Amino acid sequence: MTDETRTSRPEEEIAALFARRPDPDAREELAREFLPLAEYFARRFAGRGEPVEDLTQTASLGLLNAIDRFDAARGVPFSTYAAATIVGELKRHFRDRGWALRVPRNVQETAILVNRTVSSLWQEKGRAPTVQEIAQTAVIGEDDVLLALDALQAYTTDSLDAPIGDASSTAAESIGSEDRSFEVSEEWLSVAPALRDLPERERAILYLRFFEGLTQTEIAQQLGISQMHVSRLVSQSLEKLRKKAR
Amino acid sequence: MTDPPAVSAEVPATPEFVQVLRNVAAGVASRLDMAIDQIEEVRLAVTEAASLLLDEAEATTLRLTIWRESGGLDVRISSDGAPHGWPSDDVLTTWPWMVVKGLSDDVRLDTEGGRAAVVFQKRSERVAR
Repeated sequence: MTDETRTSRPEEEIAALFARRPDPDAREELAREFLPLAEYFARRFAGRGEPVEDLTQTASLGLLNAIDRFDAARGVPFSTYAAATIVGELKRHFRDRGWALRVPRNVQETAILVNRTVSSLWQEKGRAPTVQEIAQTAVIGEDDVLLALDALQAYTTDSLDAPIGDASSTAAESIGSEDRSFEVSEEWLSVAPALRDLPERERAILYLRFFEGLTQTEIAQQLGISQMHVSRLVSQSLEKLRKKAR
Repeated sequence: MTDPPAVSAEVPATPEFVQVLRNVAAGVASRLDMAIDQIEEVRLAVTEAASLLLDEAEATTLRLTIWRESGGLDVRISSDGAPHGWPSDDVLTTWPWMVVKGLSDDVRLDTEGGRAAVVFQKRSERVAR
């Protein structure tokens, strides 16, 4: 920290002011004394879309809270304690304003964010979004989107009971309600015996996709599930088959 | 983005490194503004093509080359495993072959440059905006 975070007054005087604290005069004097500290942090949070005056005010509020709550007996210098309180107040301010402070996200958080963004874009546009569209909407890098998509395709296992389309029917029901039964030919099963071990729905999707040559969209319509869901199930079941083949 | 020149990558011929190739392919497809379902199909096709090559012959390296021709994404995956006898009669009845065929718009097998190769094209449905 810089000189701005220190006061010019002797420590005893400051300590005396803290001792007199419920007294509004002492409180005010302390606030004036440590104002440069609040201003210092307000400037550090500037340039993120909030006016500096608002930030100074927020930081000052943090400073006042710190003055009220400071306990010298804990052995922590006031400037250290105040810095934490002020920064906390500034962060809360950004959060309340809906501004995301640039904090590094872990892969899992990114995957959840990407997943949500993909669903809403897919619904909004009626087609699969591009990586660029996802990156722009989620405000993350394109490479992060790709990594997240890879993780999502490989590891998500959607529950059969996860609601799909209109919330009243589950995936399991829509398979069951299909008039068509998926009499998968023996010839086809002999190509990849592990197909027998797949859940019926996944086997049906692979059959339609790779034997009957249907597109993902056509399969989605036939089974009454979203295309995103079909895409994911294709990836997951191919992954399962590959693992079994090894 | 204008069409990039050919992109290629060579990795040790093991299943673990196939992951690298699929990521390269996905990265290129994404930079060509393909939609994510298309990208995923490219990724899957690369994986299955690679496993086809790995199953067929003892190879030490796998090479992926991606270029653009006639509006499509052209992908070539080759191995240095014995090209004679490639493709064997069995290849066309294997599951990976069916999958690559199903995921791509045009697929063939060749031994150009003395390497056993799977070559496929994916029509890139470039997203209109």
